[in-house]
Amino acid sequence: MIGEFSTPHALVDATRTMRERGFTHMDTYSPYPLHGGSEALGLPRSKVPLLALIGGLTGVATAFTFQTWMNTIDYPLNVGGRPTFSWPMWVPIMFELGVLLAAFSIFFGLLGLSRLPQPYHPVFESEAFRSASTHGYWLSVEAKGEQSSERISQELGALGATHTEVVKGERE
Amino acid sequence: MARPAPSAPIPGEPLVELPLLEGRHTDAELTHSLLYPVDRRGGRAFWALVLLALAGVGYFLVSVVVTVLVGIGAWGNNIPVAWAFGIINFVWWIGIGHAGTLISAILLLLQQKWRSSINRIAETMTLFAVMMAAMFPLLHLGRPWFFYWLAPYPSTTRTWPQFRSALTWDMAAITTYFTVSFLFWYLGLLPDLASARDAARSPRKRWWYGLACLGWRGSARHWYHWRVGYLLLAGLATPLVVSVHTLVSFDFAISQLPGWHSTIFPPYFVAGAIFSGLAMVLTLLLPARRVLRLTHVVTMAHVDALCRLLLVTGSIVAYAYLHEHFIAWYSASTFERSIYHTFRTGPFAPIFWLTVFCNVLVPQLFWSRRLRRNLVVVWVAALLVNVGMWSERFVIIAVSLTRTQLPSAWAGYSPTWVDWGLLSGSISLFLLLFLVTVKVVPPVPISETKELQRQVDEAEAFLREVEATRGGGGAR
Amino acid sequence: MNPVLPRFEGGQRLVLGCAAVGTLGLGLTALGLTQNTRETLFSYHFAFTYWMGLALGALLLLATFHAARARWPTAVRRPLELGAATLPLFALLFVPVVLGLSPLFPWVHPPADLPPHAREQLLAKAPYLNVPFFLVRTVLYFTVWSAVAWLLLHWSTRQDESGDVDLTVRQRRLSAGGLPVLGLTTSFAAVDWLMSLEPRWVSSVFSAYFFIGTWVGALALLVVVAASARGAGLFGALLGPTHFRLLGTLLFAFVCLWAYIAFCQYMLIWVADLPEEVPWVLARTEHWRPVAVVLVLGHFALPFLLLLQRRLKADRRLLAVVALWLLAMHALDTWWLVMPALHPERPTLHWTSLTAFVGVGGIAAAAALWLARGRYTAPVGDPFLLHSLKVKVP
Repeated sequence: MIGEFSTPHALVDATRTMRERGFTHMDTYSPYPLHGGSEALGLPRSKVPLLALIGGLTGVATAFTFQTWMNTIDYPLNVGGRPTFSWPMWVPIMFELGVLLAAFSIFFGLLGLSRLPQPYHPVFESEAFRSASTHGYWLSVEAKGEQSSERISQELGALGATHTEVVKGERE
Repeated sequence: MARPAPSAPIPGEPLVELPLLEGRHTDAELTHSLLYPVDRRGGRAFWALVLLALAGVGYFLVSVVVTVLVGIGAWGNNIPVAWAFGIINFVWWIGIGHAGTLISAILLLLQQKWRSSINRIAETMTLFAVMMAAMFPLLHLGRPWFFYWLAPYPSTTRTWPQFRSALTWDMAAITTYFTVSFLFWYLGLLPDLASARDAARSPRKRWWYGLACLGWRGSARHWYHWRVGYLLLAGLATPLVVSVHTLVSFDFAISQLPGWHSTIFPPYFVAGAIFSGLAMVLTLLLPARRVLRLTHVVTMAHVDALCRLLLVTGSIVAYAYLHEHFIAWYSASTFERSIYHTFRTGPFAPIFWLTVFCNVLVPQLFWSRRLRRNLVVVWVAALLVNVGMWSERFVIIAVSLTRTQLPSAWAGYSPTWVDWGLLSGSISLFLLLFLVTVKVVPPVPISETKELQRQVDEAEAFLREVEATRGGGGAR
Repeated sequence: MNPVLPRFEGGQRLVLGCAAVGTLGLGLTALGLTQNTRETLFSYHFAFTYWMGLALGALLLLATFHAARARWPTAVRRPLELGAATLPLFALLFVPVVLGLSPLFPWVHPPADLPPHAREQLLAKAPYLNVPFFLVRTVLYFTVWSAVAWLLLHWSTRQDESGDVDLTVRQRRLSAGGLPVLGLTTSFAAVDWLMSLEPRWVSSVFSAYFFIGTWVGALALLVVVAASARGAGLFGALLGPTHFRLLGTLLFAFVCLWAYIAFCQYMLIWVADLPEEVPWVLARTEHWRPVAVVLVLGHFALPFLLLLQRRLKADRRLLAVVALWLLAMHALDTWWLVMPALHPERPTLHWTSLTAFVGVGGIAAAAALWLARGRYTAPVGDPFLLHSLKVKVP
């Protein structure tokens, strides 16, 4: 069941009210991040920063280890009399690899947590939903058990939805 | 139909700030106007530019083929001037890329709202500039097909790359920088690709944009992780951009060559890089905003802010020049004093003074508010800064090498037609890539501009509130 | 009376207390002068550099905020103005250094056992490193700094009464136009007062290292003041978690910047291994290794990890603890810059370092507090104060 709202505030308010009334399996759709949108849905803290930290530390440790092993242990070479364990000169690559792996963790972690890429989703069945990425503010509520689509449609209408529609399809 | 902007009350005449968006636009209007460059077919001027760029690319290809077939001998390089145009172009291009990251990442962290309208153009510029930069060290290898020797892989010779060499650092820095810039650009683009998908008229366009946006729905969960991730990537890109030009400066500074070994090089190179990149942003942005009809979102406020940043970074660069020359004298080392003297009075002195003119004097124009808002002056100044930053690298890299510690090894330097082909050709290729991309990808981030419109509305509401509270206090 | 904040009328005891502690510290230091002149002079020079650096850092920060047209720092701006306004006092506190020029700076009377090459080098620097020119420069630095600091404070306090918007424009213009001059004078002051302690040594990034250190110190001091300024007429109650988060973020950035410059300077000198440059680094990182290690961990690693936490930055008490720690680390950093010039072989702490530190600090704090009395502790007439008070970060 999806409903369109005309302003972002109406959407956030409606989401909060619906959640307070006990509806679950909801999601909002908007052309830009909503102020207070994730709070209204009650989403848990994002795990992306943790992934970034793990990725970064892995990169730093890996770079330190392989440089030391390659240039100090396995293939020591005298370069202008500098020590074979020239740790200050390992720092640039330690930093770069740390950043690289952290960035990969963020990008793929973010896609994974958002379950993307996902070329098909039931909401795409609706032609009107195309406005969600340009100027429309949508709320989706899954019709399940007690939450019948008629009831949801009524509630959404009462909360100011300008348009409601039922979309069918497999979820994720 | 844009409603007229409410006359924004401001706390006093002298503190008026230029509007970030001209007029008040609804979301649907913004979508339409910002997708305009993508929707419309290119005009005659567009194709003329493309043809011009293609001609340049032809010259470029010839130069590349000659370089690969003949070797580095086709360039003007000699001993001791083993590094010249190749490395100068590399440093110049990668420096240009840095302003894109500054605008998209650092200004995001600093919550500068004016970044929103121009970050896409700046990031696109970064990607292509880094591509141009990366070509030069590859060509300079002489045998580019062996570039993988720089990567640590278990080879049959049982040797490993030398990590005390700045070459391996550059390899790590450039690949990381390109990858992270690309991820950052693509992540910022996802929502806009979805907009393009949903606004597309033909099913085929819709299908391709749908594929590229990975099925973005603008769901709250998407936005939630996206926001955190985007900010974190910005947080990573900020030290990264500093590190990249720092490593570029290390190419020179870790040596013992007078004119190259100086501890101020890292911050000085970073400032110079951003300076040159801002100039390139202005060079591209001023014509683009006119031709692509973006004047309502890329306003004088942006031009003004970019000019002020140009003044700031230009002043840091000027400080570095002055301090370097002073420290060379203060060191009382014969070699240091002599090389800086050569910069000022030697055979290449005109190039040095050109650098000083373009990088130190020209930006000083922007102390004047009137000149910051004169588009012709700004564009010419930006072009001059581009020239100045190239000649600065020429002075540092090539001129230092002509005068090593041993006078018997001193030599001159003059570039060949291949050198000029690679320089002008890379500019043409850059231009071509930029022109094509502007036609395919929305040049201004649509979702962020919509968010910006909300913020501008809120800020105006707040200003009215402030005015109301101050009204009784007798403020003007 | 202003509706936002009353004037600050308290603090009398604090001024007297600080002044007393300061006088006592300076008195004891004077006693040390009779016992070991050279050692005491270096100690005093360290203490002077530290506290003068905080005042100078405050001035640079203040001018940067104005020039960047930043709105959010408006509410925390007054302590910076007051801190910077103590700079004329430091001109006075510089007198002992002038009297001790010869024991402090080897270029005044090059020691007799200097190798001929080194002597030649010092001679070649003589057009810059000579006593009259040194004094002229010092006068110039203090004149410029004091003038800018006093004008900014003057205009800002005048605006408290009149609310005249024009004064904001003047402060911004002076700051933007003054920054290049402030930057240059600071940079040359670092060469004169610190780099020339070892006159053969050169590093072109050293000035930047010095003034980024003063930013860290001044900002940390600002955080401590903002977090503890509670009571009648004090601005602390106006601040919300967002202000502290922004201050914390800025502190984080400066800590990173400091580490970046420190690493670049160390690495470039270490790798090139040139005879003019490397003794300075050898003394500080090999012979003074324990101090260097504490600096790497305490001035960078620990605050870096702590200041990454969003929640810590928004908590004024926790942030103040980190800031206090950074102030201590900045003192260690300054000590590590100055003292190895006297004792290159091993870390040596003389008791006068502590008395001079307390002495100069006490006097400077008393002066800043005395300046604050009878004024507003926030720029109540500034048109952007309300913007600053309402600032929110998503």
